[in-house]
Amino acid sequence: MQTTEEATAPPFIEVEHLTTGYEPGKPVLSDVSLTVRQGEFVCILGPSGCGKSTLLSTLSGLMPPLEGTIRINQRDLYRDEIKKGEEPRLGYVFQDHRLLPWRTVAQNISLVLKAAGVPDADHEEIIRHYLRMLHIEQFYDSWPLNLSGGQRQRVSIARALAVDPLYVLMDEPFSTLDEVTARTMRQELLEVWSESGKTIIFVTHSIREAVFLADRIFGLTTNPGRLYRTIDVDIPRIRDYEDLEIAQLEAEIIADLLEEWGQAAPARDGAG
Amino acid sequence: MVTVVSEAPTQAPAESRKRALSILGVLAALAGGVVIWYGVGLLVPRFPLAHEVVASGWNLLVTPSSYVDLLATFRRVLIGFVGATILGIPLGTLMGASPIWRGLFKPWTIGALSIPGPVAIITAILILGIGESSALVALVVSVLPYVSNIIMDSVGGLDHALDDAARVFRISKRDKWRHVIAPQLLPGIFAAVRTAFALSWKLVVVIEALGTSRGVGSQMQRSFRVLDVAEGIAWAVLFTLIMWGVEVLVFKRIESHLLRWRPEVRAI
Amino acid sequence: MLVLWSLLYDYTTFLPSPGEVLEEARSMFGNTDVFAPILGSLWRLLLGLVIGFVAGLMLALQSTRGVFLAQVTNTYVRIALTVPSLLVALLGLVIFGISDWAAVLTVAVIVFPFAAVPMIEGVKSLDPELQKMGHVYRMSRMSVIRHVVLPHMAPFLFSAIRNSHALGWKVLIVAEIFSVQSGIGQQFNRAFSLFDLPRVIVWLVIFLLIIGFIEYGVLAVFERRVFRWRSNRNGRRTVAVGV
Repeated sequence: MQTTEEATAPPFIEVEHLTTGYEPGKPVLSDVSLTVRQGEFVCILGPSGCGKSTLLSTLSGLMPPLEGTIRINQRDLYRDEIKKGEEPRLGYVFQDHRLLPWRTVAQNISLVLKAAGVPDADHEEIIRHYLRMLHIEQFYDSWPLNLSGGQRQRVSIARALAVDPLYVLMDEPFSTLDEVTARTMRQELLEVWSESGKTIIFVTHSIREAVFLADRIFGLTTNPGRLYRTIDVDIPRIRDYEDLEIAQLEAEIIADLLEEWGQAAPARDGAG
Repeated sequence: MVTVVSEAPTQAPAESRKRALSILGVLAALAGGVVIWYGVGLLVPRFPLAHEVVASGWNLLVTPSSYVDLLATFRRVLIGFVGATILGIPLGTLMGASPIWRGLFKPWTIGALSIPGPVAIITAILILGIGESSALVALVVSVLPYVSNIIMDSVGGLDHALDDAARVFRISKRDKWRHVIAPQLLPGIFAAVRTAFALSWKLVVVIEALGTSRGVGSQMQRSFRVLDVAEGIAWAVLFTLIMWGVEVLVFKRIESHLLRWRPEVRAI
Repeated sequence: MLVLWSLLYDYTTFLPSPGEVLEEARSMFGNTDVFAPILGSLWRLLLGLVIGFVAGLMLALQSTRGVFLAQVTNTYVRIALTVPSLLVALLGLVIFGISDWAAVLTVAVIVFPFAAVPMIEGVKSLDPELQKMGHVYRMSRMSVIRHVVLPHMAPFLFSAIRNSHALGWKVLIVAEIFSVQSGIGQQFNRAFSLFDLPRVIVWLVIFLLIIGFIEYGVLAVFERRVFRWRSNRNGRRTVAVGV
């Protein structure tokens, strides 16, 4: 396991001692602290039910934490006075596309652009730019249900980027796609990321996917829900999904995880 | 422009054969119906043969007073189904959104749903007396619960996943209503309106037969009473054809437009 | 809730008070034979429903044998769906004169599409894989029908029964008023010609009670037993549209 390096840039997103959950007495995640630097691609890795999505909800500004603080660019997301219209713009890509099926692709993106305060006259140009970036410009006037799953997710990503967000949250966006499509999408996501320079927080339960995509990985575990490890992925870009180094790191993480689980279940013999 | 995602190899010959068969099927069914008709006509003493009905129908079409009846009936259908819709949509929305109201009104809607047409008009007449208003009241009361039920189910079935997306992207309340919620309710509203119309014109005939003096239903009743069966059937067929015409010309068109975003628009 | 509401019914101007209605009911039960018309109607309804269902089933089976037959079936179903019940009732009257058959067949005709459509859907969605499984395990044809086909069709059948039961009653009343001179429909008609509003209301209540009893008593119990193996999915009731 690599040690965390000294950060050279000021933290962009700071999470301190975060405890979140739906009910005050029953936290899903406890005492999570992490930082994300601007332009980083970080992955939140964990099994189902460990509170990954809850963490995302809190990061998106929609679910106040039970305890702890979240700061974006030095400003507290929940406690500082944020004027209407100055709320941080963020992009969100869901696991299911969550596009309005009764609006065309362009109209879907136009809707969020409007919500972000972009004047109507600029919409077309912006939409076309991002659709081009995702290689789907020809679907400008298409109905979402006429597109394939992969294409819909591209629209979803284009939508997230089009608002020029401070940061982008992605909740297992490729988990419903077949493997071939998913591989293509991961590749393209990295291209889009390097082209746009956005900060991306990507949730997944696939270790290999996380290692392939991220600069850093935050490993979460359940019982209790907490951050048990931060992993730096020092493998140089451009990465190959079949890279030996990726496989190695994946194996290390798995071993680490098993050890972790061994600690969480005292009856079992922990992996050596 | 709808873009086709994947091109399946076109099966031209199989498709057109299917179509030919289906058209043949419809024609055969209709032909069979006519044959049965003649059969019955020959067997049953007073039953008219098809051409007699056609003659009667023609006769009706050229008689000016028929149009008075047709118009009267049509007016009632219009008022009935519009009234049921205007009252039914708010009621359905209320019942769909709040369990309290649902519990309150549920027994009433179920009751109104079960009341047969003739009973409704009978009750209405005994309460309000013979006249236009009792016919209209009976019609509206009978159709209303169907509308409110459809709307109620529609409101209850809203997709909340899209609400999350709207929140995250900070879409304004107005836009959310216009783009997320309303389009989900629209098919329900449309279904309710279409159902209300279909129901109204079938019900109005029964109501008229018992409770009014002019109109298709009462004319039908009269014809059968004097054993002019051909004319009675002619009235019914005429009216049915006209109403079918309205349903196809008006409602189908609107339906295709509203549902054009669906991957396969299948007209029922 | 219903009771509370009906007690608020003190519009003695154009509606009879609950007291009057009760009085009427009491005298009715004392003087006239209430049960004969009820039984007569029940009997006619049952017959009509059975015939309608059998016809629906037969047509559903036919519809699977190719496009041609499917369209023939489809046409008949559509026509039966949209023809006004009054017409059918009056035709029944002409054909059969004043007899039970007129009412029974009217119900059968109007109800039949509501049975046919769910059954066509059921037959269409029959999983051929399950039938293959039956074949592999050498289940007899009877066995296959009993254990594979019937349970699959059951929910469709039930939704058909639920829908057509209430509808059947309404159609029956129409038929009875116009083409038969017995049964509950006739009671309504008589009360109407006597301008006897309390009487109409009494019969209306009786009518609603019967329907309610059958729906929530008989049908619901039966349904629960048949669907024991399912996790509670069948909640919504769809109501048949018709007159």
